[in-house]
Amino acid sequence: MRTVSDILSSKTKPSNVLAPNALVIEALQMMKAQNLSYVIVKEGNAFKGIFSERNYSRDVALEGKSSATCPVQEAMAKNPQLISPEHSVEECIQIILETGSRYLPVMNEGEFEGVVTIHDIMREALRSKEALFDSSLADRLIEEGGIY
Amino acid sequence: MKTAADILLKQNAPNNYVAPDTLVSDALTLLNALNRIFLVVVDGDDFKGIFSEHDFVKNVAVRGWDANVCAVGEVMRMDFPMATMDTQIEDVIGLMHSHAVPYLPVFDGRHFEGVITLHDITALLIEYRETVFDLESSAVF
Repeated sequence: MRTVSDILSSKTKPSNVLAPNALVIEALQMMKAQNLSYVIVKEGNAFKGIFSERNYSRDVALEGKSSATCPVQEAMAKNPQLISPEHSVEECIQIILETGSRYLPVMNEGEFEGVVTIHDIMREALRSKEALFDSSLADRLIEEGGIY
Repeated sequence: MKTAADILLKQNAPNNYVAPDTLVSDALTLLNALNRIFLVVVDGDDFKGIFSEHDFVKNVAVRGWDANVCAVGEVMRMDFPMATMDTQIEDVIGLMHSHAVPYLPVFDGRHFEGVITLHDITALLIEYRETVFDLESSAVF
């Protein structure tokens, strides 16, 4: 059974990281530049939260706040569902389905290790070549790096 | 092998429809009220596209456009591949991948039937957990 640790070992170290006092406009620009839908908010090495497209839509735009003056710490998800490196891929899917989370921060004894996304989970599941899908499709999805 | 129709049958009746001339600000309010991440844009019975939080960030916010002025028809995504009710799941995933879309509209002839999402595919993995997650064999996971 593959685990979160296996997923993280196959990912590069995230560079979509901002400090809590970074402005929302900086987060949007980083998301666009990296073609990602979220940024990780850290203060030094301490994980503080996740700022995503959803947070921008609901907690900045709908609240009438300005992305040029609002810091990400005002709009980020401060208490996202956390997982550990020992969680299985199947457990991650259950969490995603039960909580509606799209980003699962990984903590190991208080240390931030990375983020597992629904796309990572899909890639892992598609490694099961004989189970649901034919091997050529699974190979293509895995090699080309994602479904999204 | 399951088909697109099997996935749509498991979904609740969709209520996330808007017209193309809906203001983006109103669409955001609806997304929040429905707790959804996308809206289906229709003109009468005709499917026109999908408007999501991603489209809002990419096509409105980053461009500096005013959500109180522009309409979803101006910023929605339209370049979707289309599945039919009998499209097999394997092909559904292949279409989503090859076109880099997290949503896939499904049609019966010219009639729009619904949208399959990545979350639907994820739920399918749990339904097939005994074959996908072979607890006895590391050959699978």
